[in-house]
Amino acid sequence: MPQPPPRPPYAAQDVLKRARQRLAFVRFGVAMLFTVVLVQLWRLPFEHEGKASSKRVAQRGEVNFAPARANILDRNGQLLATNLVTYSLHADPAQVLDVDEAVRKLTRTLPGLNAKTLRDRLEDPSRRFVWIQRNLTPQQFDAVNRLGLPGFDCKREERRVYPLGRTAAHILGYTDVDTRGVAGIEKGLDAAVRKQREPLYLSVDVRLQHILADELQQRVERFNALGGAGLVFDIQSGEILAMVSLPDFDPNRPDLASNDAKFNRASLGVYEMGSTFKVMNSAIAFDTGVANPDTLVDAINPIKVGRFTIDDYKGKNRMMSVTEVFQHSSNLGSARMAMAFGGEVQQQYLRAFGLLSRQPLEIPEVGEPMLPHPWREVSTMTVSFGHGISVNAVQLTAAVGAAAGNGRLIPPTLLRRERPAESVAVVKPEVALQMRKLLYATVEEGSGTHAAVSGYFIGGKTGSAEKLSDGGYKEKKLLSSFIGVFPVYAPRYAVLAILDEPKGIKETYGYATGGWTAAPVVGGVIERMAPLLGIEPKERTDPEVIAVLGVPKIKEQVGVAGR
Amino acid sequence: MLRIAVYSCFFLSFAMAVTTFALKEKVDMTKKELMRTQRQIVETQQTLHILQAEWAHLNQPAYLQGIVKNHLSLNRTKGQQMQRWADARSQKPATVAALETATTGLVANRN
Repeated sequence: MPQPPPRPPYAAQDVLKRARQRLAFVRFGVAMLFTVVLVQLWRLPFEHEGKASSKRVAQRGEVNFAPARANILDRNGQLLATNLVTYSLHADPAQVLDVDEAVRKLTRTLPGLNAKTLRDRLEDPSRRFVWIQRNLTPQQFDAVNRLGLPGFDCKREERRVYPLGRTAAHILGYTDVDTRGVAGIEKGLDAAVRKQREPLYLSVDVRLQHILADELQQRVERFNALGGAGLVFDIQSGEILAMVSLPDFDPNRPDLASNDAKFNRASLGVYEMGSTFKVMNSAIAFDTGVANPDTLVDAINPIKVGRFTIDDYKGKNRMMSVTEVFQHSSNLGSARMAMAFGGEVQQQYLRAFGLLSRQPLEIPEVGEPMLPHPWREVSTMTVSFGHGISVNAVQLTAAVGAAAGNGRLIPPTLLRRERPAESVAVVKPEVALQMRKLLYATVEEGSGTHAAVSGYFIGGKTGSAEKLSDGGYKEKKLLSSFIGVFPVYAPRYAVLAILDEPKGIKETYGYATGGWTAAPVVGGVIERMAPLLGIEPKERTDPEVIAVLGVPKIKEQVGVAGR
Repeated sequence: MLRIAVYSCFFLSFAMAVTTFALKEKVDMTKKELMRTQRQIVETQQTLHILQAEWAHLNQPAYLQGIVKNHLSLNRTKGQQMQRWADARSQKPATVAALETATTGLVANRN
């Protein structure tokens, strides 16, 4: 019977036990390691497809087409400016094998290329990169690719496009070939348009912009004017709903536009506005208490100051009430009212109306007012009827909006306002109410009757300023304007129209004044925009109208307000 | 016991190698698919962008006005054509009023 193996000594048993323990520990460690690796392998695909990953991808913008400039939209979301992807052709002259062939083929495919310039560029040994043509059309890109010329390549670029063409060209401005803002909003808000991904909403309403441009263009052509400017302004919010300057241009091809067409007459041009300034003059007189609508003013005797004589164009030669002075646009009466409150008060008020300094707007094309230096007594008189001081159309419209609105000046803007802007009190609300009556009287019975629209109550003031030329005023060269406020019983919109040197025609009996030329523009604009904006027509006997304009006269009761 | 552990390790290593390879392939394919999808999204966005621009171009007010003038006998809306809803209901044409009365009668009968 075999003997069992001898039992190891106590020390050896102990070593074996410890070895087994270590082995178990190592086995456990390896198992844990494998488990961790397996878990990680299992997690990896899920994490890659999970929400967190998608979010990160979206944040990197990999799944979004992000143009270099944000879209510009009108207040209702109509696209006004956008970036489109284009391709630009460039070449490395060192790699062009046959310059003659390249020039021949390219000038045939891209007719706009100049053969000599192209040859010079391709034969210039000092350059390794030359542009051949920027922003190819898809057809041109395809045609150039088909040529298969060595040494030529196309670079993906973006081009700024204005789908509405001339509409709102002076507001939008344009960019250069590298899509950097050069004019208008594109320049004024260049950094914001480049930075933000969200579209930029303007205050402009494309429909009103078109109506204003259309009406103005018709009258510019009819009266053979040099140009025109117009504005539709929201008195309550300060938003510019339309701003037109004629002639205009296509921002898609600014290189084809003349400097005159690119000049913004509505905001950059500063003009002696003429009698439309009487709105502010009367408001100052009422606010300071030197006059009320019934105060009689001498409109008989011309005023002589040094070598200047102030007289009326087709004067009435009688004592006139302030209402009549306004209605018939008497320079004499206005000058006398201004003398009553004085030059210093006049400057204080005009400053508060924002007419004595450059008022900022979101575009760089903003003209600075030209003021009399020094402000003499005669300046006070001439400024009262809009001569001797030049302001831009935006300033004037905002000031009239303040005088006829609620007496508070709201800074104008070209951006859609989401919340009310801070306004500054200029005249008392009661004065604004009196001004509405004066403005209405002018359209009903005064110089602005051609602005009246059936069913709508419009207030307004004409302006016909002789233009300064060759050191003197030219009687035949007028800047004819009309500013209308409607509905005059609760002013919401101010509409301005300016015609630069209109010529009188047979239908206007040779007259080219604001009442004959610009007032119909404002009437036409209001007639078209009111139904569009859902403004209901009212009768003269409507309580809301009576509350502001008073009980109608007998002849007003015959029908609704109208031409 | 040790042998089993060693075999297990070998098996696990092999399994992990196969799994890793399969995962790598899957990840590669998913990545390619993701990139393709992203490219398609961007292309679609670009196409939409172009279509929006074209739509805006076709909606130029001056262009539409010209079309309306040449091809439709539409006139401008006058303020007098506007009415409050309540007034419009009270001044509805006789045919509409008769139709409404008849409809009301039908509804009443059904109830």
